[in-house]
Amino acid sequence: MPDINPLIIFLASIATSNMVLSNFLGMCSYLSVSSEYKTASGLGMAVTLVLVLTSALNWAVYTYLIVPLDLVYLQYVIFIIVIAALVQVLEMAMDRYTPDLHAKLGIFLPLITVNCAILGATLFMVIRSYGFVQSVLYGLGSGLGWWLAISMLAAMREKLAKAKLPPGMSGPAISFIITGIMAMAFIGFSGIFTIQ
Amino acid sequence: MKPNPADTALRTDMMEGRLVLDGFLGDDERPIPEIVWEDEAQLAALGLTVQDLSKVMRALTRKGMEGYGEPVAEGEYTVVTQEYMGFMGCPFKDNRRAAKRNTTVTNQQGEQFIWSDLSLHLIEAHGFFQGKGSVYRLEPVPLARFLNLSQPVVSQE
Amino acid sequence: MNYAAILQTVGSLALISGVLSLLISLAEKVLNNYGVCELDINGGAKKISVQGGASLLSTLAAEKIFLPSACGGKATCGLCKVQVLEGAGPLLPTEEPYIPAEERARHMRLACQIKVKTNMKLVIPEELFNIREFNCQLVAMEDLTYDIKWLKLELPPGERIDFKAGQFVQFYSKPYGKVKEEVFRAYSISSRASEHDHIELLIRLVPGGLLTTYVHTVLKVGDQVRLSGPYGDFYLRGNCDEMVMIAGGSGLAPIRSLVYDVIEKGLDINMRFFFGANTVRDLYYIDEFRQIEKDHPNFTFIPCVATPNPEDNWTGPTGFVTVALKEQVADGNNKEAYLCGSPGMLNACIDILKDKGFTEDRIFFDKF
Repeated sequence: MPDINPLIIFLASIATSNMVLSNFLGMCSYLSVSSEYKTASGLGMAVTLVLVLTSALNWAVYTYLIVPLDLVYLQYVIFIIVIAALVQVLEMAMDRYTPDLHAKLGIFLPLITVNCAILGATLFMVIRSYGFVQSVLYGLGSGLGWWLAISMLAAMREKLAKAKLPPGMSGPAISFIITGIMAMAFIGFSGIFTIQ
Repeated sequence: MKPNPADTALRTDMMEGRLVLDGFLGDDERPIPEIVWEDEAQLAALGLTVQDLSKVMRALTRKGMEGYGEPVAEGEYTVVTQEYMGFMGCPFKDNRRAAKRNTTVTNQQGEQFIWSDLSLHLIEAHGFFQGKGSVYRLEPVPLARFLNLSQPVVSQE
Repeated sequence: MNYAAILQTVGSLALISGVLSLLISLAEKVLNNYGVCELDINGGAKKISVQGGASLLSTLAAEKIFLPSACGGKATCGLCKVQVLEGAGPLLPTEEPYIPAEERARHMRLACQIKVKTNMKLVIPEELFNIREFNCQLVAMEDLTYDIKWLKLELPPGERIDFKAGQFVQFYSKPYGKVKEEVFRAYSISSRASEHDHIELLIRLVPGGLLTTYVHTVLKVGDQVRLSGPYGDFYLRGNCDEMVMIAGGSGLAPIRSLVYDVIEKGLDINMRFFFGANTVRDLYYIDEFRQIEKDHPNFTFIPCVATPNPEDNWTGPTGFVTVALKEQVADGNNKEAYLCGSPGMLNACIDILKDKGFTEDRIFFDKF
């Protein structure tokens, strides 16, 4: 377990090692669901929720199942099916207990199962051999960071919808450029704290 | 790219046979926001917004309604508005019910555009001219020209 | 080949997947099973036990309680509003556009969007309990004009429908062609309220209409048709000396039923029926109403043709129905107005009637 304050990990995963802007993970949904601020923000919330839960669960699965049973070579497959199962149960639980939240986030949950940011966070946590608290805060921070990034992109794309863009630049093209500029801007945070 | 799930739900309701017989999308595979953007961008290139179009269209429909199904002359246009009982819900689920009303506008050159109140609402409130290949699709640039809102587009090449 | 390694890999994966699927099915059993829920309707007046999990609209329909609806649960019509005092959970985003603040305060909800998950307390207007479902047989169908069909639907033997003249039924189609699901629309009953074993409907073809296309191109005599009804508060009031009736197109249907109702009840009410059509070929039932006019001095029939062709030799009033209405109705004293037609015609006529002194509570029309 690296000797880093979990709070630093939390802050760093929002700003300096942002899932989207420094690791370029979760790009697919980041680009396709960022046309409206409202839905983008809903997806961000769902990703955050799932990231926190999967980091915690996958940490336990890794520590108490994969390592003792010597199944490290199967970790990718196991992580993915754990995520898939968790999302399924989560959707059912939300439908039952928080119907309004389910109505807001439910449609995004199946999409999240195959979001590489989720698997990415789990793998980073394993590679960096985080402890439990570190993992959960890392998951939370990564989720919030992803949420922040997609919200910013969506807000900008909403404004851009009214702008005159050169032909061929609308849609994904301009989104990539915006993302690149945002990523550069986020490098500015690296003076504050960096983790690896 | 992964489809936006909100868009997927909307697409389902826009398919043929769901809310209207022939569907709103035709064979257009683009996500709905993209259809909206691209049409808006085409209009923006002419210095127009969707509201510029919908305002004129709404006025023509109003004028046509005075004829209760009979042709009404309005400037250079002849407007016929056909009404049916009942209403149609908007696929964007915004609690706007459009009357079942079709407006047929013909100009002196014989060019003709037809829109329903629902099509008009989709343009006015959602910037949605419907998918390419849909029988209800209204091409924004020719429509703008038809409504005398733009000069004939000069080729940019 | 290391068979032990292969076996271990497959075994562990199978085990883990197995455990996870077991967990999911367990979760489904626990989380998706809402058990039996009790619906308390109108403060205990009616209590029903239902299996939870489905939408309130379909749950009630299975219990033969039919809430009005036009879109079949797509949340585009906003008609299936129902007052849920308890057990509906928070307002869903799909409901938000349809329920304004004052209705939220009264706990109005969209029945097609909320699920039955716990015991619920509902308030359902009494008249909705009279609504039933009928599996009718289409026994006759004829073209009245080029775009209006007359349909006669017979109820199953032994069943009867009780409706007030002017009310409507919901007509359910079967999937056909591109239309993959059942759709339903409202149609006014054109037959007499004194006939309980069958109903008649007039259905005008709407270009691109999901249901009217079904009726005009798919439906054949002998087919089964599902109906529910009767619905609506457009029916005979009769607190007047004279009824002014105005219809256009297939809007004639409920008026025909009303006219027969007044005649059969022997009410001492004068009736004037303005029937608007664009051309002579849009007119129908002319002979029948002329005959009623002859037999009953209290009934006057005024068909108006907006633009008759010269070869039609039209001798009646020419122009829109609004013109005749303006000329022939002097005031609103002791009069009631019954309107049925397209919204544009309706609005124009209502404006004229109000100018003549009809108050809103004496002008009746269906809002669909």
